[in-house]
Amino acid sequence: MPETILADGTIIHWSPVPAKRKKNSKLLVVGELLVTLGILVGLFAVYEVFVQDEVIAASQTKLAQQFGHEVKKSKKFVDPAKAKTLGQIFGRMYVPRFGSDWTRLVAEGTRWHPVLNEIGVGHYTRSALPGSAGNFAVAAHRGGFGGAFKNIHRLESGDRIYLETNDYWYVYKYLQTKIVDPTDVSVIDSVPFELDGAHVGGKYMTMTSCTPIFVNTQRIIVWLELEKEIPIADGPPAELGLGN
Amino acid sequence: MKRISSAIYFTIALSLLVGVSMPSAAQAAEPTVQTLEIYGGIIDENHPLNSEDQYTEVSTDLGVTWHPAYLVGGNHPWGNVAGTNSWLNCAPSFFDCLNVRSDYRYRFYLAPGWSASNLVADMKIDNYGWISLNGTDISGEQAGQWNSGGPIALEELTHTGWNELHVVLVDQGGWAGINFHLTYTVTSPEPIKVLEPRAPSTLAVDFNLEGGDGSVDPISYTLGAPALTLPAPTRDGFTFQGWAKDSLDGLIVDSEQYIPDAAVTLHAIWDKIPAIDDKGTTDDSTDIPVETTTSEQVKRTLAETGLDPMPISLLAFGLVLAGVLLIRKTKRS
Repeated sequence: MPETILADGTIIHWSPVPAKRKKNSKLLVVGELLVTLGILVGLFAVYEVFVQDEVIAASQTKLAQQFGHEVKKSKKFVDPAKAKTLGQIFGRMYVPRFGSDWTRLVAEGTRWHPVLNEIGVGHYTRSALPGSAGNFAVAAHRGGFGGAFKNIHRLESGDRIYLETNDYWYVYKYLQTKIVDPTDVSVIDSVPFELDGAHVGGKYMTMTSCTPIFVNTQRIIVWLELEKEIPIADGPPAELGLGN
Repeated sequence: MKRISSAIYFTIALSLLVGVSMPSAAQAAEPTVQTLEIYGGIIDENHPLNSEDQYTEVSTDLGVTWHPAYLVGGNHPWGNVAGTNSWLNCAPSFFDCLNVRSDYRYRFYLAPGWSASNLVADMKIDNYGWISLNGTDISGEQAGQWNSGGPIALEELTHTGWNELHVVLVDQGGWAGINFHLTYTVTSPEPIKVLEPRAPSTLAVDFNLEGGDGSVDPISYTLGAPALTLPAPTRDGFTFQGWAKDSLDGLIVDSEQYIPDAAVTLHAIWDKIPAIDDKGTTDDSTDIPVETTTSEQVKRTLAETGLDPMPISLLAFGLVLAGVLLIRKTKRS
């Protein structure tokens, strides 16, 4: 049995740790590690929802400011009719209801990477082009990854959405909001059957996003109709206050 | 002490979690500078001296047949080009390819939209040789130690689609072999795709009509051949929109100038011609040019657009609960 003799002559005898105590000690460490890991994962969830969301939103806004039809912009929009490849950016969207400084780029495709997570708003491939007869359908995240359409439920009668491309500003006015199942893809048909007054030849826009926020079992959709298109040379719509 | 350990553990783990989830720069489709580094050659534990170089193929019959080049070691009197530790030859030694012309080949694919195609070469050539792109000499005949000194502009020789870069060596006796580091750069919306050595020189293009009438025969595309014009099938009640690699994506390829980057099955994309009375409209409405889409062509479900923190939250809760139960049980016993 090992022993230690202190300076004052006291002898301390050390007895081996019992096997059971050793085992308990190991289990205790495992338990503490599990708790630590659980807290870490929980914090990561909090980070994803509250911190990463803001970081990505800022990144998407910054990216949106780098693009444009103007000569001074370093990155140009692709002609919407030529945007055939996933992630090709063909326009920039403004939604005053989402905030006076809210703006996002619109790209081809609705995949998370690289469209919805990094760019912001994705165009349903094969849906109509902006300004065309039919249904120009787009999607964006509701919660997380910048939540471009976080406030889609706040859109209401009188609201307008502005889409800037190389050649035109397209102004769409709000028509209707609806909650549907994810499988109800008829909402992005050329003539949405459930949209009151929809008719062949109408120029519609559909925004889709998930609902309830962070649950995502259904989809919230907003229908709009083209109100006017303004040649880029005429400058941005005055109500946006962007100057010429 | 235990608390400090936990804190360190906590910090490291959180850093890792944050690191992998930070948003990356977007713009996958924005052209950026893509680089292809070619080393001839590198010996390592998996590719020993005198073994076949897995990255380089060589032909000694002017391109009729191809086999792997050999790593012949780094003991050539001229030393090695920076970044390499071996020379290449058509046989496992410096002395076995007498009076042979060896073509070392690299095949790569460039997506449409590329620009600024350049090559920088740093080479040791014993006895003499040259570099060619798509059959055109781009270096001139060189012998000994040669560095291009700067980028060789290749825009006029570079093709959208498949390109073929050759390093040619002529052995006139004595020490012979080739040792090089080539840096090829191009500004492109997609990464450079390199074909595996000795892969077939043809790519099969098959077609899935997705309900269209009749059938379309597969096409065999030979690398370097002109772009394909794809067939346009028909289907009652539908308008043919084009071909897509992914039927769900529906991203249409260029039917007039299509060059496959791999063997592929293309899917027909159809637009349904709308019935006149879908919404009770009058006959006049049929004259309106309508860009139509119907649900069946777009997606089977609307896009998923939301982060769902529930699974990870449940995982966190489960871990904490398991840990607490384990601690309580351990302390009780």
